[in-house]
Amino acid sequence: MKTIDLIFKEDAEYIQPEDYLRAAGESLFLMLVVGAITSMIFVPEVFKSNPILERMGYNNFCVGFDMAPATYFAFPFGILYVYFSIQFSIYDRLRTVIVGERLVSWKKNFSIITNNIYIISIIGLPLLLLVSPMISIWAHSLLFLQIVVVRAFVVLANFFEHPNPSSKYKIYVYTYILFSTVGFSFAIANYINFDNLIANGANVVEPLIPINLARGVDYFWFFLMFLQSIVAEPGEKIYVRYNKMTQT
Amino acid sequence: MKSIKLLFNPDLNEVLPEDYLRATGECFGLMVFSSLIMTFLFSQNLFFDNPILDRLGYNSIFISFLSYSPANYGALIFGVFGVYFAIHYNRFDLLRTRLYSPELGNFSEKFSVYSNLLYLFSLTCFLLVIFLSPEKYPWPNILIFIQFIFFRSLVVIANYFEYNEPNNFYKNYVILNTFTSIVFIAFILINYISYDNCYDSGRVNCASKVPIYLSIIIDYLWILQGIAYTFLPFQGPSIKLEYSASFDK
Repeated sequence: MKTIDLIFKEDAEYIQPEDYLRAAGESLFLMLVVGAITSMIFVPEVFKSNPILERMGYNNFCVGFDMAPATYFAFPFGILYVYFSIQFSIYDRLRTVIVGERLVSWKKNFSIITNNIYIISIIGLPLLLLVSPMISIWAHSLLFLQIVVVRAFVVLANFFEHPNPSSKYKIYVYTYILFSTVGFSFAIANYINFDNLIANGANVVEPLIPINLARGVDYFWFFLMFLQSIVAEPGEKIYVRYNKMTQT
Repeated sequence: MKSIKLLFNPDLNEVLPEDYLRATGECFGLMVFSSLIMTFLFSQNLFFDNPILDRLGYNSIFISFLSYSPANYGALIFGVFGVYFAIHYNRFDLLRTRLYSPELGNFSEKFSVYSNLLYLFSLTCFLLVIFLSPEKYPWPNILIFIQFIFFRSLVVIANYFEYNEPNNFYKNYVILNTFTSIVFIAFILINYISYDNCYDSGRVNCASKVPIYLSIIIDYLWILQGIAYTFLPFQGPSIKLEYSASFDK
């Protein structure tokens, strides 16, 4: 697992920024699994009734860690996710600077700007554990959805930076962008629809987007995230030499 | 601010591990400061009535107000970045030790590696105080804080052992910090246990067992030592960096 390697056996000679993205994906996976198992043991009722289920018509993977005590167990993995994501952004930005000469100006700027925005955006993940759907469903969901959108830009910027991407990589990136955008739109549409119908006096609300379609897009987005480490082609390695400072 | 510079515009030619320590201090300082400001703005009653005040007899500015919304939202943001910088301080500090003191003993290095790893785990757990309110979970809330005090003192000792020839000021600091940490933990435990015993025996107004002025002195001394460690120059040399990028070498 990259998560274990990067914490305990970090390579002293080179840095592969994409390794950190992969470790972040693993941390998110662990967060989902640990959260779901804890919820199944301590609060199984959360899977039968929750604000996301009411609006979307199905249980999103994140439902597993939305309620205490699952939140507490999921949180340390959330911290790992933030750590690896920030590391990826910093190293990816560093590589952009190092290989800057071969990049056209807009690609370089696009990469640096998206990496910087991602550093801020990623804090939404631990924050959404604190702002549970029961406190504010809109704040909770928007904290997650903004990460989905910003991450899509990061993946796109990484693709633009690659000197020689394969067709497989190209198809992956455009599919990922498509599913990120559609998933975001589906969620917003269902949430607005729910609010409007409730405001008009409805007791039970049918989701606007067909449940199986929304669920398919949602689950496939997660699948694409985990597929990234297999399909996405890593860019250059950053070779680093550490030395003592010489007296001047 | 060091934290902003390290995140968005770090020096590509050299790294000074203490910059990360200072950024950690900035973030934890902002975490505590923001919790006080938000509590002052939105829930002033907490200054006069909260479970930690009931048990200790005074408001501990570090821990008392981190668990209440909306103060905990800001605290979490700063806290997460604080943990991030702390991880890097430990990484670079260890790297520097290996560069400058390759003759460092096996015990010192292992002690440093393991205590730093435990400290990182401890820091991550510490942020759980933001989720666990002292009303509902008084003991988990305070035990998380206690483990943080303990592992922090351990890592201060471990970092001291990394130096081949530490000066007397540093040595005295480490001794004082270890003493303060142990006494602080003891005072907290005594006050919490005596409060529980008092409450269980049916009494209503349970005063803190340790004299309040003593607890306050130790608490604030511990905080001052944390600030001193973060911002005073127990500073080693920088590490020179050289980067290149290619697909394979």
